[in-house]
Amino acid sequence: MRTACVLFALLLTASTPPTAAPVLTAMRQELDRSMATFKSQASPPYFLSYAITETHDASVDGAFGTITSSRDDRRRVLTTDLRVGSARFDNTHEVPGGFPVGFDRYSWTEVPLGDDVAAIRRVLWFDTDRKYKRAIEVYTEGKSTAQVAVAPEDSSPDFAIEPAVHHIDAPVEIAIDAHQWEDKIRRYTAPFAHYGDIYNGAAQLSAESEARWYVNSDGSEIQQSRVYYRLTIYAFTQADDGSILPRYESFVASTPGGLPDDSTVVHKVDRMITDLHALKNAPVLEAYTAPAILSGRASGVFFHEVFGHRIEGHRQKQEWEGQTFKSKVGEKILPDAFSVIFDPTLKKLGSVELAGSYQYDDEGVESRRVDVVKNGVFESFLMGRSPIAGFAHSNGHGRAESGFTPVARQSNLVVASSQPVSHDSLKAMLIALVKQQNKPYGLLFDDIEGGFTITQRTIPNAFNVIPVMVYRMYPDGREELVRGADLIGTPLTVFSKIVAADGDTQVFNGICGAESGWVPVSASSPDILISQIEIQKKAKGADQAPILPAPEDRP
Amino acid sequence: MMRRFLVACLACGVTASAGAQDDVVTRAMRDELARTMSSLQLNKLDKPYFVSYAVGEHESIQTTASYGSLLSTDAARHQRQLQVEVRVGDYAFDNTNALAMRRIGGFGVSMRNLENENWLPRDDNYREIRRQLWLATDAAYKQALEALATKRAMLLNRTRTNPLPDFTHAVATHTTDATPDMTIDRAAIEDLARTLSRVATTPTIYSSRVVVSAGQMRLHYINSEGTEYVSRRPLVSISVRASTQATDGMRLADALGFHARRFDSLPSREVLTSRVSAMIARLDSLRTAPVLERYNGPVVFTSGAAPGIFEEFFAPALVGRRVPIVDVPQAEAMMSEMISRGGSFSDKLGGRVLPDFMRVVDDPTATSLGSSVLFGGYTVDDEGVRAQPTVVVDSGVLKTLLTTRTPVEGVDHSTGNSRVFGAAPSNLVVSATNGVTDSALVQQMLALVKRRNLPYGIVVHKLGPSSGTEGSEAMFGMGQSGMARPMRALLAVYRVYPDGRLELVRGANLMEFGASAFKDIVAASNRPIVSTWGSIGGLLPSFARMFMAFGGGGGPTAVTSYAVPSLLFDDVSLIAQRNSLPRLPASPPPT
Repeated sequence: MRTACVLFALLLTASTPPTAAPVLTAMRQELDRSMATFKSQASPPYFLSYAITETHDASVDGAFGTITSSRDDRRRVLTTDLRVGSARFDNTHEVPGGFPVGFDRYSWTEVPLGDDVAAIRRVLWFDTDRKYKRAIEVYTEGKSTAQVAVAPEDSSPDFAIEPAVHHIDAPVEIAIDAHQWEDKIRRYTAPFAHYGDIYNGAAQLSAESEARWYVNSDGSEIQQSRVYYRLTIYAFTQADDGSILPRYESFVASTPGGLPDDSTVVHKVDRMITDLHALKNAPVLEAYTAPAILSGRASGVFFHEVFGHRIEGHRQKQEWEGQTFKSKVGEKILPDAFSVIFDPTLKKLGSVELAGSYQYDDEGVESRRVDVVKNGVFESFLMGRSPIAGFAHSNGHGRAESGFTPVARQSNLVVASSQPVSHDSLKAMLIALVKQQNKPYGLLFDDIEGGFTITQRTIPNAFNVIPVMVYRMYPDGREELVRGADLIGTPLTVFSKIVAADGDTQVFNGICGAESGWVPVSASSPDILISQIEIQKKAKGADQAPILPAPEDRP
Repeated sequence: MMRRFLVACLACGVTASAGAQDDVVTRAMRDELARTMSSLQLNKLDKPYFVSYAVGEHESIQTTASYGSLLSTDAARHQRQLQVEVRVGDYAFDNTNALAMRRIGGFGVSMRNLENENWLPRDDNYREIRRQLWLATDAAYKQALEALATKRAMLLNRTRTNPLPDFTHAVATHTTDATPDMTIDRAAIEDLARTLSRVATTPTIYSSRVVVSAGQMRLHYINSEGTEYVSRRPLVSISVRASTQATDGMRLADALGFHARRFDSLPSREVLTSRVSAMIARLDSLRTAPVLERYNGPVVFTSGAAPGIFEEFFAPALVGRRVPIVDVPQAEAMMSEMISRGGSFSDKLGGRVLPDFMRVVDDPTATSLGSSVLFGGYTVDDEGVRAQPTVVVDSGVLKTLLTTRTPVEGVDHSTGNSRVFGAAPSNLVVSATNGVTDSALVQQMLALVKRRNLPYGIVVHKLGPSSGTEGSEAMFGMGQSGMARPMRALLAVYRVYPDGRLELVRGANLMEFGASAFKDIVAASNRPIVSTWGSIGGLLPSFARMFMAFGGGGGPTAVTSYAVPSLLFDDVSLIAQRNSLPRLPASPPPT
């Protein structure tokens, strides 16, 4: 029955061209009116855009075989980009030596849901007037401050004018079967309930649809939708030394049917439980350096933190930023065999859907594949509409969470090697390095929960990849599960130690947080071998296990 | 038969025994509480001497609308939350009322508590509910042990003068609440929000917003002393806010609120619509009204404004606030000063705080005053202490403060006013023995005006919206030494001339107004008018407003009703806003 309905819906959309929602009409009308109103001012806007995002968010949460909460919320948020001055120098010009306050980066403006054009226009009117007043204040201040400060190192313009785009997609709605979802959550989390030493065993099924409308004074009009279905499972136990030991699984798909079936999930849950108990008894790592293999997912996160954030274009002209790769265009930064691309047009890798796909970015620019590293040579930054030396235009990577001002962000990162070795060979290479360096063991980072990095000056530009399943790799071939350490390092050094990769690419789907909020991304990579990495001890709690036994403890 | 009996005697505080058919949640609570009291102890450290569990089942909806359209509807469905309290030590000295400033920002011992947010399963699953109770109790116990040890260490090198007990004894109570569940009709609520927001949309009002919320919290509480209660708190609220600018750019804003226990007890659609229209019309006339630059003289606050100034400036002073022991002694002195400067009457017990013809009674047992509903009542407070009327001020003299089971200087028992975050008033009824009519009050004011050779007097019908919300220009005064007191925006202010002529003026702010100004009340009317607001007990008023302005207090907020007559103050200072005026919008709103 469900198949038939889906088919029907597809047929319907195929026969009639999608229509622009009344929201778009309201945006166009008020934008035109606003430009006309301010044209007679001393500093009229040279650019104005409205971006409205309607988010419909539904989720069911549960733990230990029960349901704890559910939600179903819908909200529309407006981001207005109003610029006075000129593309060369406008009110967004960042004063050298200053640090962005960030207050202007987020919009709290809620827009009425539904189709009432008059009501929507009211909100646009009020926000535009406020934005205009703010813009001329900031612009006037910026002009005088720029005269007092030294000339910036990068004298690129403040804004890139891009071609107007007209694109209307049919809206996509999320489809949730609340009862079915509740049954699944109960079934997936019930196994955790058998164990008194597992202190949380939770899962969430969520669906999020984002309808985005974009209109600007160059004539662009875009209507697009994105839908994500996510299943996340999380459990943790605690070691005798107080360390919290977590284990995560998550899945992303663009349809409910794209999520794994029940037996696959239950199988994963069983594996989580086994791993948690193994972690409890695993020995603790100390600070150490050694050769290491990062599994595909770990490597993906590694590249995301070490590299991805450092090639976000706008950072290269922000003078408080570390600008690690600013002068490296055309230089070799990785071994010859390695390439790195960012491709928002890619929807899948093998059979796995990618979370960082989109057609038009949040600045109204068409997305495209960007080859950032070709045969080891660094070629390009990820660009939004903030030009930098050598890169005058956007390459469709201007992204933001609903309500935030877009900046260049990552999309679907894919690492590849043109000379892959087999997985066994990679291990053999690791052992060879271990022996060569006279180390007692090497490391294998098999599963990670995420990571973070600092890109600004003053604070060390380190990264931290947070592993979950780590193994000591002994020269005699033994592998031993260990715990208690994070993978750290500094970007240029660690890049110079990347040696080889195998041929089997894995996908990590996640969400990335930075100054324009949280955006969905993916990072895919084969397993890689690094000749030297460093680990530092993880933070740990000091909690003892619960004093009383679980009320109805069943082994 | 049983049910009707209970409902009828809610106000009489009749005890009801819990039925033998305890539900799953109750059984789990009882069982884990019993096990905790009998067995929970870490090594040879203090065992808990007091434990309480409160499980809240919460259902609510909040709809926001502007210009005839919905902005959002947030619906929380059947959430179940747990609050655990564990005390170690004894009633005289336990782990509470101490602040370790040196440890602020540190993780503290229990990281596990950061993970679980004390959500209980919505399913009636005994084992899982008990598991959460077990883990939450374990974490709370460990935190309590740590806090007690830190507190003991803090006092090693100090002697406390007049140490107050940390927790007073209370008689165990056993009550229930048979109020029927409220059906929350989402469509009706959304429709009402849209309709009222349409009324608040006119070409000269620049922005407006309506929030309609309906919620109920069924709270089940048990503690280790044998107290148990069930309370239900259905509440429907409407809030309408509108703001604009006068022709010279001065920001103007007004707000309106309504409360009811059920959706169908709200005023009729016609009444609501006309009240909103009237507010919008008055806001519009204010745009062109003359500015009141400065005034020092007698002022009548009528029924629309008197409850507001009472709620904001006087009532918080009636709430007992405990000064915690702080590990940094200078900080402790500073907190003590903040509390007294923040307007608390802690040091004024037995002293005169109002004119001798006035009386203030806090009465949680009352449900109405005349034809007005009082919303702040209850059978037992949040700690399970029986509700009772408390004479707070008698013949102008402060008799007591409103307290919880945490005693304060001068009040060694609970008055049964523990609400959400600490002590708060319930239904505060203010009366005057020699009250007169409103018009007689104005005449009295004009007599003072004549005596002082002033050209006119002032009548205030309405205060502006409170600090931190849309449109208000008032600043947050922290009440610390050196910082200016808040300027409080007034809204509906009229010059009253000796010939009786009225003239609407704008821009007036109350200056230097605090709890002590109420001693200058010369006369009051004979008819208290009731107004109701959400109350945040325990916090200082300025922090409380900031908390609420940023949407805090996501759980059930207590509400307090104030019945206050019109008040004539002998001498009040009013000053116009001195800020530079913001420009008007470059174009009118789109039609």
